[in-house]
Amino acid sequence: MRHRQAIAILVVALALLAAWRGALAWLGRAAEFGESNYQANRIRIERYLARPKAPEYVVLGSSLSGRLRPAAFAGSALSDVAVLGLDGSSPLLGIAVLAHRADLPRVALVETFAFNRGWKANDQLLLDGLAGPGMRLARADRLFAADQRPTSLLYSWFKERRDRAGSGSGPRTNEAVRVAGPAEVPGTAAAADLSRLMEDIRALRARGVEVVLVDVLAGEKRMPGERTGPDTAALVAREFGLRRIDLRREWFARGWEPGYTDLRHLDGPSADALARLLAESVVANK
Amino acid sequence: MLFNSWTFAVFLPVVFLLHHAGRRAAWQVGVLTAASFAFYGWERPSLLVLLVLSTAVNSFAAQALLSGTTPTGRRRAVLVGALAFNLGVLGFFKYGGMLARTFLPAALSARMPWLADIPLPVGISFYTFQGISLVMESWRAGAAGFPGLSAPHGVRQTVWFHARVWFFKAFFPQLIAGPIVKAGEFFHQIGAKRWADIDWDGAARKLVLGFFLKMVVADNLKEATATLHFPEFLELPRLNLLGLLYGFSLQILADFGGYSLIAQGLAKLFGYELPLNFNHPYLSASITEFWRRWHLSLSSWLREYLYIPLGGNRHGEARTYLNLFLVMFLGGLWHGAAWSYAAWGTAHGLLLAVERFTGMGRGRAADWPRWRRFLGIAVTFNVVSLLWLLFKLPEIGHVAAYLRCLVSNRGGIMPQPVFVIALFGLPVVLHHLWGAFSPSFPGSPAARQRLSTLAHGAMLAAILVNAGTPGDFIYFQF
Repeated sequence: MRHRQAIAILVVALALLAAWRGALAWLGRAAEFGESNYQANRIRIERYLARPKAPEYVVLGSSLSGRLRPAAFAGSALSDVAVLGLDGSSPLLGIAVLAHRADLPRVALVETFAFNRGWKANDQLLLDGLAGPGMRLARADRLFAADQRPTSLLYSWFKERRDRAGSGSGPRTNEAVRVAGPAEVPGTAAAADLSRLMEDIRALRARGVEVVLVDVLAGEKRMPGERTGPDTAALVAREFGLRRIDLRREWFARGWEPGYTDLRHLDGPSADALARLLAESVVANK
Repeated sequence: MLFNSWTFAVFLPVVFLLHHAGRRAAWQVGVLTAASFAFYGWERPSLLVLLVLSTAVNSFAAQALLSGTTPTGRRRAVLVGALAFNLGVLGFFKYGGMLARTFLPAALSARMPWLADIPLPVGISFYTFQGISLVMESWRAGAAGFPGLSAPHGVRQTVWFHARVWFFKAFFPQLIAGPIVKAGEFFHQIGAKRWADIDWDGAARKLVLGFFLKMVVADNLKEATATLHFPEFLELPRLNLLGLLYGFSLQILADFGGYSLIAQGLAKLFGYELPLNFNHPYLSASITEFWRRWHLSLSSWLREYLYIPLGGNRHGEARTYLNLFLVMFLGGLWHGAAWSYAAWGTAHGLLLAVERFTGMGRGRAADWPRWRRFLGIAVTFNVVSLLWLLFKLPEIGHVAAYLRCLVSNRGGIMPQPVFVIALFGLPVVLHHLWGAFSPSFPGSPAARQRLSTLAHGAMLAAILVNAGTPGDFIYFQF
């Protein structure tokens, strides 16, 4: 029986894992960004589920609201906020994640822009994963958490460095967005997704969660083939008599110039400003 | 059932222990056959109907072909019937929709809409080719049989004959995506396997590398290359388009090569050797060499059961070119029911023909001067990568659009996606460098083995903490 190398491989792997665990504990680092939509969303979802209690506010939406850093809300009315702005997803996934905790936030701030984005295979994969052994392991031991993955840490470092340097955004990107004008029509949901959205909002309200619709600031860029048309958010707001906060109007009314990291997403400083504007607007609209 | 699923993580040890719980070959073959059918039908038991039918037809055909008492005319009829059955089933399920869309008048196909929606049973291309291999080897061997399989006499032998054929067709490590095992490579291996004979070291190396390539490299690259999709790529900078192209090249190798290694490693746990499927293909300095390193089990199958029966290179130059072209066209079409796959195979066939004509494909590229070899590797990798577009983008118009964008899109770079592709592509590059330079690596064989152990340990750790988005293997769709 040839097994010496097999055992040696196992021993080396265990030793490396122990060393990695020690290094993580010593450095105290965690990735803020994932190198893919799936990993980025896992990070946000795992953090949300790991909270000792549900936050007072939760932002539900796509990568547009995912740019809002919880730290940017510090000292505002929304200081106890969690952001479930999930890359490549719609608020539907965020709402589904809320159901994985016994307690709920008091207010759900639902981004309207991604209503056109239906339920996707990646959403189902993440949701299935929540009950699977992989994410259970991550909850049991931080070594297996998404924000401790070596490549996510490396990517996060790389992205933070680039964001600090301000590259990615710049006069050319901002000019391209300005020329085309900000995206005007929030998404139009497909019939099946609309009925799911309606049901989800009804269920949240039935459990005492206040739902507020939020139009966030987005660049001009729409992916070719994206569904556009009637404003689903208006339909949903009318159906349930929901508050709707238009951050775009507020932003431009103040004469602010947004900066973009690509043709769609706000850069760091603009995203932080938008977070503060959201906090102000939530209070002002009451 | 997927190799990279939690269900399989339970399934494998149970089957392994059951297999080694008995010492007789009949018990072990029975356990593995039953487990293989459970593995295949786990999520959709209805798939088993076709596998059972295919196995039964090939099993009885092989028995008739190996029997010394079957008259020659009847043997020929059995051969033709079995081949027609195999190709007919494959043609109906895999190409029915495509042929109907292409050749049937619109009015007629509108009256038969189901033709466009024929479901593709997973693994059908692989197990059908194994069935054809069994039939062909039985036809060639006749009453003499071939190593490990001959005509049975009496009830016991007949039962054992069919049990082994069913095992050969269904053996779960290679059932869904190969390597395509030829009958002559497998039957002589069937017998009682002892716990003491298990090659744990070999199995561990294959499994760790295979799972690493799939779960850490391919599954992470999958999301990084997701924008290699129409229309998402239309506005990307040129360098990002190039990065996507290289990323997909590395991803498809890691995905399929990873699967093949897992299959080999699993087979080793049960005492079986499956053929090598990939041999550092991106070290190829010509397209001819590429096909001696990429999907070897398919190349070998096509050579043995298509190219040589068509006459190979025995009937003059013109016929050789025609045969090459035909084999590559059909090999391309084998991958999927879309004309882009046929175009992919045809393009490779044309390049093979050009290399043969110019003499580039002859001789050993290893003997070339170093500069020529490096140049050859770079050119071949770029050509192969460009041709993968036909794999990834099923509409030929989309491929043309990608090529246009590659030339005319804006300059600059979006660095983050390229960083991710480079990060996860690096292990494949290192794997190739190891393949190229390990024979001349300084130090003793023991030092090389220590380095290999360290690398495998690191890969195992990475599988546990750095796996990507779980998902199917690319070749499952073929």
